[in-house]
Formats: sequence, C-alpha cells, structure tokens
Amino acid sequence: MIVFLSMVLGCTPGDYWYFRTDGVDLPVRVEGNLDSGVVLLMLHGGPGGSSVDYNLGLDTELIEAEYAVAYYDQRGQGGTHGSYEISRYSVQQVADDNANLVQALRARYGEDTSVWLYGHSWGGMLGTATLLDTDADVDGWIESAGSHDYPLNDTYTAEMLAAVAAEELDAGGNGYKPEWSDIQRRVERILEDGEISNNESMSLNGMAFDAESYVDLAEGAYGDESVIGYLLRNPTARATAWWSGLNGGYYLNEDAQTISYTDRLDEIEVPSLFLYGDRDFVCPAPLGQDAYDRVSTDETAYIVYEDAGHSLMVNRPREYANDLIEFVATYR
Amino acid sequence: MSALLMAASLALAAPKKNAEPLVWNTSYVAQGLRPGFKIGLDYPLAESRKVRDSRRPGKKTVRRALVVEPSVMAWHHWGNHTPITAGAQLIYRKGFGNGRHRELFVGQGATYAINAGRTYSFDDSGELQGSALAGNLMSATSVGFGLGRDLSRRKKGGPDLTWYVRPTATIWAPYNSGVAPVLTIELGVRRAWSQR
Repeated sequence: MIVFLSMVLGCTPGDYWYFRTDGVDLPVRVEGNLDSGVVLLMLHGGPGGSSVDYNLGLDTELIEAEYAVAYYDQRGQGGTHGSYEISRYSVQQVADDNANLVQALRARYGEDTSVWLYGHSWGGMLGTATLLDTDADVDGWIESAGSHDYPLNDTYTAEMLAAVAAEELDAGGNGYKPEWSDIQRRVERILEDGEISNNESMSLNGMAFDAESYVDLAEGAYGDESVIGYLLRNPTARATAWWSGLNGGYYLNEDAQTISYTDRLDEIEVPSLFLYGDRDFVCPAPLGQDAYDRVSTDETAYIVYEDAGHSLMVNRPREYANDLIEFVATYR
Repeated sequence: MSALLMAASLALAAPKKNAEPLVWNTSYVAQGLRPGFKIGLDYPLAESRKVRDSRRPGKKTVRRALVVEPSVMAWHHWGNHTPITAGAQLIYRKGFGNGRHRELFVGQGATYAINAGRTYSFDDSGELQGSALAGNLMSATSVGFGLGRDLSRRKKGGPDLTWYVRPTATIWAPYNSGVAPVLTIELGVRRAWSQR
C-alpha cells in the first residue's frame, strides 16, 4: 500500500497534464525551455502513433534546449482516455482538438506565448488541416516529412519506388535484388490502371518503409538518454495504445484517403518551414517543394537532407535541429 | 452476466444456516509492471464435497464451490492514470485433497480511472480550469482463472492461509471510440479453505 501511494503521488518529468475537450482527455507533456516564450506543439505521426516516440534523441535534446515542446497524444491514440462517437471521429475533429489545445497552451503559459505547429508525417496532414479548417491562432508551421495530400503522396511514392527500384536493379540490387524486383513488379501493377485505391495506398506505404531499409541512410547520432531510460519514463500503455490506435487509425486513414490540401496551401500565411529527406519513400520530398511553392508567405524555407529517410531527424539530428531552431528564431 | 451476478447478490443476501464467518482476501495486483491492490470478500453461495476412489491407494475428496467475491481494486499507471474498480466476481472453485485449488470466474464492475496530473478544460466562461480528480467512468467486464494452494495442508503447523494467482482479462467500455482490453495478474492470500 505504501509503495502504491508513493507511486501515485510521484512526479512525472516536465509539465504533465491532461486537456479535456469534446469527450476526450489528451495527455500533454511540455518539456524544454519554457522561458524562451516559444512552444512547439508536436503533432505525431500515424495515425495510431504516440507523441512519446518523438520525445527522444539528439534532435529533441537540441530543440528542447532552445524552445519548449508540447508532446501530446492525438484523440484515440497513445495515452488518451475518454468516450466519443466513432461517427464524428475525423481529421476535422482532431484538427479542432489542435486548435483548442493551442488556446489552452496560451491560457496556461501566457497569452504572448509564440505557439507553433510542428507535425511529422501524418502530423503534416493534421497541421495543414488545423491551419486551413480551424480558427487556430498559431505563429508558425513546421512540416517535417509531412503528408498534406494523400493522393499526391501516393503518386510521388509510386514514382519514387519505381525510379529507385530501376536504378538499384541496374546497379545490381545492392544485396536486395529480389526485394527491388518485387517492388518494381507491384508498383507497375498499381500504376497500370491509373487510379490508386485505398488498399493500394496502404500497400505503397508498406513498400515505402521496406524500400527505406534497402538503401543506405546517414547513421545519425543519438542523445544522452538511454532507450531503457526512455522506456521507464514512458507513460503510454503500449498494448492499449496499439489497440486503440489500430481502431482509430483505420477510421482516420479512411477519412484522410481522399483529402488533398495542395490547392488550398496558398491560404497559409504564417511562417512555414518544410523539412524532408531525399531518401524518404513514405512522404517524398517533392511534397515539401509543392507546399513551399504554394504558401502565401515569403517567410518560408524548404530543406532537403541528404541520405535521410522518413525519420530525417534521426538521420540528420544536428542539421535538422539547427535549421529548425534558426527558422523559429528568425520568424517567432 | 448481469442476471448471473444479480442471482449471486440475492443468494448473498439470503439468510443461511450455519453461516460461515466472512473471509477477506487481499492481493497484490499488477497490470504489466504497474502495482496495485485488491481487497475482496470471499463468500460461498453453494458448496459440495465428493469422496472418490483415487488412482493411488485410498480416497480423494473433491470440493466444489460457487463463490461470489465483491471487491475493490486499484492500480497505478505512472504518468497515465489510476483506475479504481468496484465490482463482483462469480467464481467456480474446485479444491483437491492435496490442498490445491483451481477456479474460473467472470466479473462485472465499474471503473473510475483518474487521470495522472491535473486535467484542464475550458469552462463556460472560457477560463481554463484544472481538476486533480478528473477521470473517466467505464464498465469493467472480466474473465479469468485462478490457481492456488492451501498452506496449512502443506506441512503441519503451516499458516492458516491459501495463496492464489489469478490472471484476468478485462474489457473497459467505453474507451475512446471503442473498448480497451486490460490484462492484470493478481497474487493474493485468504484464509485457508480447509479451515472453513
């Protein structure tokens, strides 16, 4: 009983709290330099992921030394609790949560806090949705290997897989000849009929992750925290999060499958930074170029990291963190 | 399930001849590595004993019982939540002459899971308000099995206790847009069955 009570009353690192909105309790952990007056609201990947997976690594340590980062789990994913109707579960609902959370961050840390959306992968879709379809008052936008247009993303992924498979096979396959041949055959079949179905989209996503493991990526560097230390302070119930994410991820993916924000990117007027990896098959770099060309602000940058994949912050942590820190410092 | 538990509750309320003293059990509960406890009341509804021929020389006694166990359980998931469950389990228990027992059970209860840290929300006037006890109420439906042994039968002068272990699968509902499966293991002691 004593052990139990001591653990209940124990502290968690950072400023840890829940935000209740529209039937859900979202866990929020704010770590880093709150004195900077800047909070980056991390929108994790997925759907079905968790923000704690981003609260690790050298890039995180460098960014948190300069700014505060608010790690939160999106509705139905990670460590969220609550009860809400599946029929309302959508990209729009999660974007509304983001907008409310931006407001909560300012209410908690000061109305003059500079709040930026910082989305990776699936978080790129949500950040764009938040900017375009809610009244969120944010100071800037960082899209890291993000997907703001699923159909276009599928096309770029298929094109990149086909091109790299051909290159690799011409060069002998680099030890993965059967794998590249299989990818080439499957992509050709998907591209044959011109239209990419939901199942084909999922298949391309799987091939994209596989392909990334067949190419050479920059080794990167790790932070001071050990993986064991990270796991011990990680409050997410992995099995429950997996189950919840599987369920929720299905519905969100279904909803996102036809969402294309490309034609509306010119409505974005806040400072916008686009960070991509040149070896990212999952969300290929041309997505970032597209966004960079279309946003209606001169306060923008598009950076592609060499030999970096979908987890570009792991492959190029120092360059990644420095570019992000510098951009925010310039336009905060 | 509800009907079964209602029947059990009625039986519990009915006057019994030769009523046995109430037997409390206490257990350590773990959900993964997360610690907790459970306190319950072991109340037999019906019981039978049969003496059979054993494969070994002599006879063996098999004891069967239907038991209801109202209980309160809590465990703490650091940085996530503290679920507190009040409910009852209906247990079918079979005991053997060597002091071992096996059991199967189903349970129904209500869980209130208190969020870790404070929970903030905007009130009607647009102010951000925090609460330390905010959480979520869910139904908790469980199923599991148990194994244990009467320590007083192991050697003469052994403690008048039975230890038991119960792996349990629980479904919380509603949880987010669906349900959540939760696995726990219970390591507990109660007054030895042979002494009752």
